[in-house]
Amino acid sequence: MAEQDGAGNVGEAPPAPPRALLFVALAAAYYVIYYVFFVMRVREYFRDLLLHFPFFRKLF
Amino acid sequence: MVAVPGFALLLLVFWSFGDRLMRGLGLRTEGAVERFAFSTVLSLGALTLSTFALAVARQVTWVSCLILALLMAAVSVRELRANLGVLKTGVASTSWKRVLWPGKEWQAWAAWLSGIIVVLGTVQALAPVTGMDTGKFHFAAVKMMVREHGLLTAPDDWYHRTGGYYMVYLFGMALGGEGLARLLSLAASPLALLLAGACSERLRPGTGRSAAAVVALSPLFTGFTGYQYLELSVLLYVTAAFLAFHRYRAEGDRAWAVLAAMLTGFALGVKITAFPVLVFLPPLVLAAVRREGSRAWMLILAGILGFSIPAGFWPVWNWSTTGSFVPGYLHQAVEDSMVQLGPDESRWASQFFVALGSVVTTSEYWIDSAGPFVIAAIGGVLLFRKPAESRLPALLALGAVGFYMFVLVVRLRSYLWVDSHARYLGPCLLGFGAAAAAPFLGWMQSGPKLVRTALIAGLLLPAFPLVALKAGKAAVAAPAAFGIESRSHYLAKKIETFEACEFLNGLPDPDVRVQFLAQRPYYLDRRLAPNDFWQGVRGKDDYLRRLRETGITHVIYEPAAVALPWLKDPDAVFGSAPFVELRRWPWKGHSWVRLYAVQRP
Repeated sequence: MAEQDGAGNVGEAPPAPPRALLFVALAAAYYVIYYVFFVMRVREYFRDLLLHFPFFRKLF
Repeated sequence: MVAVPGFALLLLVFWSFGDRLMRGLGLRTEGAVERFAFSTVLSLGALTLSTFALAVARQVTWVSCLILALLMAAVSVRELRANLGVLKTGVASTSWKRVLWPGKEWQAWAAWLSGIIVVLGTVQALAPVTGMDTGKFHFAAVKMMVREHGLLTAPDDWYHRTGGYYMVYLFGMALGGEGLARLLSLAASPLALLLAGACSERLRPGTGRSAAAVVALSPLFTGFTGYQYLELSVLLYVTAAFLAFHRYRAEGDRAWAVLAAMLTGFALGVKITAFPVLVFLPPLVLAAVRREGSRAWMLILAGILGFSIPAGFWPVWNWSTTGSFVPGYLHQAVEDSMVQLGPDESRWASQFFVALGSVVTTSEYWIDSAGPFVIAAIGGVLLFRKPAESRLPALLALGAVGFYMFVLVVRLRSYLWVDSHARYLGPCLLGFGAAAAAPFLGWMQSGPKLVRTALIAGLLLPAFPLVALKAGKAAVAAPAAFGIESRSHYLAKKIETFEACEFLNGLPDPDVRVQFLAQRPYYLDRRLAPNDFWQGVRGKDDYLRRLRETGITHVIYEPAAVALPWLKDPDAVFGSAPFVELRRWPWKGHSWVRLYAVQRP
């Protein structure tokens, strides 16, 4: 059945709740995995970046 | 900063010249944003080919580049006038309060955060060049081209690497120096955002700002905006090609199809590692066959021509001057040596999955990532197979990953261990991915409130660490960008070999020739060792012989820049005659950048 969203789009039926929630749960799990890797990559870089500033040089 | 007014003027000329080209082709772009972005990209393409012609004739000078810009302006006077009017109206009607504080609407915040990333990147672009690959390849090669007024048929001390966007840099550097070249590089970032937004807006009205945010709030875009790397230039052409393709599918004007093929060619012409964009060609051909029927062959021929010129001019130049289409890549001798030095390729199957993992998380550096939202949204499109307009771009993004991995497995297996996969796939993941993700997000907004909120959070929350990182980088660059910190003080902090280069640049001897055993030769204005220096060099004796033969007077040594095992210990090689250490500068840890003079016998 065609539906109209807030922007006036005539599109397909909205996502059914069980599958939509499953998608959100899977996406949340993926975000956790992603940010484990991201933090591993960015940690040393962020420290190097902060060391450009005298305040942080004193702190470390 | 002095390059900024010239850059603004050039953008106006490019916009107007692109509009003129569109009028000549009988095509229309609608809305100021789509028209500005698409027309400017067309002009950048035309500029690439024109500058290449000048470079082959070795006529790239300040005067010839100025004439080229004036010619572009002269043929588009009518459009220039009209666009000046659009600009005036646009400035007068802009709500500056809304620009500074977007209010309650989440899409306005998405656009605002995207704008912040571009503004912070602009600060970085105004500071002198420090990027590793910029100083090593992109601007280093272009600086040599400026010195030679174009391209040498028998290059001695520089290398052919890539062509496409180098010609835009070359035009900028010849006309307005490094500052203008940096800004022309920066231009790819906002243009890509505008095109991603324009494309998504056509696919599903109301999703333009979220498409721009999908691109802008990714590590790849955040990291590279303001640096003179090439990935965002590829992204620029991918988004423009997809927009042209969509116009052809929706409206059927054949010129759109040819433009889509041509823009795909420009994307591939930027660098060879952009080859995953080739997945875009089959849908283009199929769309032509479906729409044109038996008359499709004429359009396909026009498309092949349109694709081949921008994609092929640089490889053909390489082949005619060096005998190889892509020196350094896909070159058998190089690959053979990589196999000898490289990993155990019998373990390629497990490495295949490691590589895939890095595509969906991050590759070697944090910036080598398309971000989690685009990957999650492509997964969502596959799970729901909705909305319809997201399916093709999602399949194109997946097809690009599949094609890339296929080429690596069958042709470049050792590259499975070169951990830059997310960077090489980034333009396709973001360009096609944003066109899938934003309509998907728009469709999911009609679902349960929890899902709506989670998806908006998934798009916007990752912006905060990225904005923090970008703000930190911009804060480091800002004093140099705005003239508070001197160029040499800034560069000495950022580039370990900068002071050694300045020392050699200041020597009165005109015959200084340098063996640059370091990373970024961009700031060295002296002749370098010839390209074939290392042929037949197997140890220290061969090395000393080649130094004498090639007239090397100085060596700059930077730790970790040297791959040869016998050169790893500088004291063992350079600790005795004919080398005399002139100076040393601190590197990381307890290591040093060292500058040696080579005494003549």
